[in-house]
Amino acid sequence: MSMDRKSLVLELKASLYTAKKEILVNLRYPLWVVFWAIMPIFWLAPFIFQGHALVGGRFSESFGELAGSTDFITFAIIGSSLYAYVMSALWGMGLSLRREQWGGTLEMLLISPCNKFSILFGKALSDSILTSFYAIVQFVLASLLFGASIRVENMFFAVLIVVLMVLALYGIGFLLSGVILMYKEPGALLNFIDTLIYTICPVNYPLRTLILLLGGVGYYVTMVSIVFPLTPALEAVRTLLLPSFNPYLSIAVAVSYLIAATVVFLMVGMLLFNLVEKKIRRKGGIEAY
Amino acid sequence: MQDYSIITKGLRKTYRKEEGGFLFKKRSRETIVALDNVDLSIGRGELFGLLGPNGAGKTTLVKILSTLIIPDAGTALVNGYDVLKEPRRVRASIGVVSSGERSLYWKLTARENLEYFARLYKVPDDVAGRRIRELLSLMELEDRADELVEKYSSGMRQKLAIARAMLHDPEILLLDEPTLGLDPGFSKSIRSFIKEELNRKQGKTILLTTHYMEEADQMCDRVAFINKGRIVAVDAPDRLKNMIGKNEVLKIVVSSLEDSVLSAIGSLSFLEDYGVADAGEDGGKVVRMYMKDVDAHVQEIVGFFSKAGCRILSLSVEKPTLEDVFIKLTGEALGD
Repeated sequence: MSMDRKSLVLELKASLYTAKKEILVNLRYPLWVVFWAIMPIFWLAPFIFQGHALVGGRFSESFGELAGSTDFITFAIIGSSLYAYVMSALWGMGLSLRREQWGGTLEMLLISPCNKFSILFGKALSDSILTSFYAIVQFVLASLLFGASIRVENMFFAVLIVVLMVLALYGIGFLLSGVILMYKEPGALLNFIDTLIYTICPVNYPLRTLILLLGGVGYYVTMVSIVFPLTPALEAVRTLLLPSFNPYLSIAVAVSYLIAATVVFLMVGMLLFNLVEKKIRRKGGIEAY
Repeated sequence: MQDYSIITKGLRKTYRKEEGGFLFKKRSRETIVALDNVDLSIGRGELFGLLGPNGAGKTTLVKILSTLIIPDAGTALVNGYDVLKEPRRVRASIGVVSSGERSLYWKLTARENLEYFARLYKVPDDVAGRRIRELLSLMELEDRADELVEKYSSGMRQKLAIARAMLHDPEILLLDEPTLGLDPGFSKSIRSFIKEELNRKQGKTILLTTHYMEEADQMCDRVAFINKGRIVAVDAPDRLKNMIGKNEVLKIVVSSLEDSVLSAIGSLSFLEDYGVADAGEDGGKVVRMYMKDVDAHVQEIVGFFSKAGCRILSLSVEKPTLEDVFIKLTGEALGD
C-alpha cells in the first residue's frame, strides 16, 4: 500500500514537473505570453462595439427578456473569459504533443516509465494555468475598458464550476490528442471544431436565442450545445455572477451534468487515446512528421 | 547458463507503404520488411554492436526493445521483462540515446532538462539532485549547466543526451548511432566514455547501433551484422575478421567497372577472394582484393585494370576490416 502511495506521489511529481517545464518553455518566448494576454480583448471588443451601437448603451431590454440580465457587456465578458479555456483544454495537450514530435522529444517522453496520462495531465495543467492568467488579464482589462458588474461573493463557486468544465474538456482533449498524433496536421479540424463551438455555445448570446431564431431546429441545436461542457458551465457561472440572470438550465442541472460529463469524458477520452496510441506503436509512426 | 540482458526470438516487423488519398491515406499492399526473424542474445555487462548500413533495421530493433514499436511477430525480453506484457518495467530498466541532440529541450538549460527527466524516470527528490550533479561533472558540463541547450555544441548536446539516459542508473543502455554527426575528436571521447566508463567501470549492458565499422571494431565485445532486416553473422570482431583469413587487402577505387571485367577478376589465380561495392554517387566502384602477398602482385593487378580500360582513382593496402567481412557476407558495403 505504501508502494502505491509512493508511486502515486512520483506520478504526481511527473505531472507537476511537466507543467513546470511547459511554463518555463513558454516564458522563454515572452512575446507569446504578451500576445495571448492582450489578443482576446480584440476579439471581444467588436461584439461590444456592435451591441453598443445597436441598442444605444450597455443595457438592452430585449436582451434582458432572453437572458434575465439587461447588461449584455458583462454577459459577454464572462462568456469570453470561459471560452478562453476551451481552446487550451481541448487542443493544448494535442498541440503540445505535436510540438514534441516536431522537436524530436516525443519518443523520450513515451519511453519514460511514468504513466503517459501523467505527462498529458501536466501539459493540460500548464495550459490551464497560463489560460487562467490570460482569462484574468482579459477580465480585468475588459472590466476597466467597458465596465463589468458581477457578484464577487460568488466568485469561489464560479471558479469551482470552471474547474469542473476544464476537467470535462480534458477528457475530450485526450481524445483529440490521439487524433492529432494519428493524423498529424490538426489545422482544419481545429478551426472547424472551434468555430462550431463558438457558434452553437452561448458565448456572446443567451441560449434561448437559438430556439427563438431557428424554431424546432434550434431546439436540437440547443441540445447539442448543452452536451458540450462549455454551455452548462456558462449557464451556471452566469447564474452565480450576474445579478439577474435567467438561466435556461438550472444551476443544479448544470452542475450535475458537468460532474457526470467529467467522469464520462475523462474515461472515454483516456480509453480512446490508449487505443490510438497502440495503433500508432503498431504502425511505427510515433516520431513521423 | 549465461545471464542475458536482452533476448529476441523470431522478431519480425513490416511496414505497409502508404499512398496519398483525399481524406485518409490508402494503405498499399506492398510491405517493407524492416526486421526478419531476428534472434539475438546479449549477455549481462556485454558491449554489443549492431552494425549495418542505413535502413538495415537497426533503429527498428532499438525501438522495439524500447517499447516504441510493437513487432508483428516474435518476442523480445529486456532485463527479463517482455516488451509487450511489461512495457513499464522494460522502460525502467533501459536508458536510450536516440535522435541525439534533437531529443533535448533546447529552450531549457542542461540542469532543467535533467531535472525534468529525473521526475519522468521517477528518481526520488533526494537522489535526483545528487545524481544530476554527478552526471554533469562526469560529462564535464557543470560549468555550463545553467546555459540554455540551444547554446551548446553538437558534442555537448550528445553528452547531455547520454547523461539523461543514465539519470535513473539503468542496467541497460540502448545507444542508437551515438556518434552520428559528431566531429572526430568528440566521437573519440564519446566512444572512450561509453567503453571505459559505462561498460568497463559501471558494468552496463550496452547495445550500440552504428554504421561506422571502426566504432564497432574498437568498442564492442561482440558484433552482429544486420542487412535488410536479417542478422547475417554474430561474433567477436576479431573472430569475424578471421573469416577473411590471414590475408592482406588491396583496395582499389576505379571510375567504372564493366561486368566482363568483374568476372575476369575472379580468374586471377593468386586471389583468395574479392568484393566489389559502390564508391559513391558518381558510379565509381571499390574493389577489395584479398591475397597473401600484395607486393608480389600489385604490378600485375594495375596492369590488369589498365588493360581492361578502368581508370584507377586510388590504391591502398589494408588489414582486413569488419567492412570486408560484411561485404564478403552480403556483397554490399556499409556506406559512409
